[in-house]
Amino acid sequence: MKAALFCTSRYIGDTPQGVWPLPAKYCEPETAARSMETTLEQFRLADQFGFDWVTVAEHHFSALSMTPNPMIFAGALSQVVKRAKIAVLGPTLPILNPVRVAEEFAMLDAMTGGRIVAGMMRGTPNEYVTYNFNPSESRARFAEALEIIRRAWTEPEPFGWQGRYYQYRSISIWPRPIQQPHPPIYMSGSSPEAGEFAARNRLGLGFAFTTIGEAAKAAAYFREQARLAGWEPKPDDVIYRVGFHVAESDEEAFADMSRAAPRVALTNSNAAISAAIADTAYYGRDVAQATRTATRTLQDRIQSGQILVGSPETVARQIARIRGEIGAGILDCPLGAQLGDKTLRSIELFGTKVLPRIREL
Amino acid sequence: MSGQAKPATSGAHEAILWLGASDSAAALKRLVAQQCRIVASAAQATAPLARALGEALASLGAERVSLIAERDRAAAALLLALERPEQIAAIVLLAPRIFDAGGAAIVEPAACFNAVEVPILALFGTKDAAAPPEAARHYRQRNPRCHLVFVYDAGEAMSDERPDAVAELVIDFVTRRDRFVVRQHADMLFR
Repeated sequence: MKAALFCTSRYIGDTPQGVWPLPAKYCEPETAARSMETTLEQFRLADQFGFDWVTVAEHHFSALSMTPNPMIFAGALSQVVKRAKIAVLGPTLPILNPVRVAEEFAMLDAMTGGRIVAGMMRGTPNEYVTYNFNPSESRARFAEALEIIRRAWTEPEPFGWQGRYYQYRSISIWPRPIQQPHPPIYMSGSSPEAGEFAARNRLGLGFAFTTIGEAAKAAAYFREQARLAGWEPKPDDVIYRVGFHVAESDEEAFADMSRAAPRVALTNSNAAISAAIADTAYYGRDVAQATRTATRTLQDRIQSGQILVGSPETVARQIARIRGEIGAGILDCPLGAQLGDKTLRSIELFGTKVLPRIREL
Repeated sequence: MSGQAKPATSGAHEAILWLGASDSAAALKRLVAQQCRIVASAAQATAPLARALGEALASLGAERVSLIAERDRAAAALLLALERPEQIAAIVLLAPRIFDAGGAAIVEPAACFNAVEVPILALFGTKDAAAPPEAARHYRQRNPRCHLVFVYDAGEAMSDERPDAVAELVIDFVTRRDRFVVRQHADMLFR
């Protein structure tokens, strides 16, 4: 089994919680700069201690994740992370120019000697507010943008595109990706529609902010749909995202977590936006999603596979369960807590003590 | 409306010779006819008919026409353009079947494709199995003057499935030819 360190470039100063968009006045520029440096250092350690991937993601207008353009961060990582793959999970396709996304991924692939993993995200509902797009069109935009990107990576001659949402007269990107025909592509989603789309388009599938039980069902459905589409997903075609905090002992890890800042959902912190989204044909009201992200005790969250906490031995056992029930080959691990040196130690313990134990899973 | 070609100030109402079945592409023809003159439609566009049309155009001393050729009629359009280049202003090939996905020639005038000096636009539906998008590159490789455009989500009946999307391209290319790559549509939201 493989593991990725996922850092959101969280702002390390104090800000109001549960507000979106978070007013920019709370951003102290020097603290923001320090936060970015901290994240780079965490990724550098992950590379040094054997993580297979490092992961960056796109979110906007929030202190919880200061990488509105994860491609820029990945560009910096290309010069810091020398061995691990760099996973951009990912650009929010419906709000971006797909030709630009294709170009940036190809650039990164060239800059890393072919170590880029290309996540294609539909985005959380609030993201559509940022660049002023209609959430109800996000699924159709996503599907079309993905097809443009694949064509842009693989067509040897200039071509135009007459789409529903996108129109181009001449596309011919430079550089081409190093990985041929193109970098591995993943999308995200636990819904049946996501599983069907990934199967039909031969994409990897990632599960985030869910539970082992839900992800196991969704993974089984994805594999079944893939077989119908004539292919067999490998373990590496399934990613499970779960936060972690590892310490020398279980007691220490739990004590650390009790000192960590409470977990805050990234999205839907704005009642007016939530109400407006509910008016569109976006998700409908997803009761299951609300249940999954509800506040629970740490033990509950460990039990349902929403976080890994404990000594290296304990965390390895928690991971074995995830592998057994979901069949995921890639674990994408956000930091469970931002605790300075404790967090750096957690990254080191995961890389040096947990990873060797899960390699053969 | 976004993506709609504006009527050109010069060269508007270009003459079009339509090579395709008379009962096909009704919606597309209606849209194109709003900004171009379809002077004739030839359903059975065989090589002899193409020659006869060329002779007729020449004897009339008529202005140049643009050819819109559906699917297998691409071969007749090529013949006409090769034999009467002075009569032809531009060619639009809708899902042509001249080369297959591997680049092999399907019809006889394929070998002459590179000799066509008239601007060509070739459209391929992204879901068309008969004229697959993978074949598109071979047209451009053979003739660098050939522009390729993929019509998203269109299958074998591109003209019926996405008539407005195809019409915008046909009108813009017939009106502006190679210059169609530069956008003329204004995007300003408010004054």
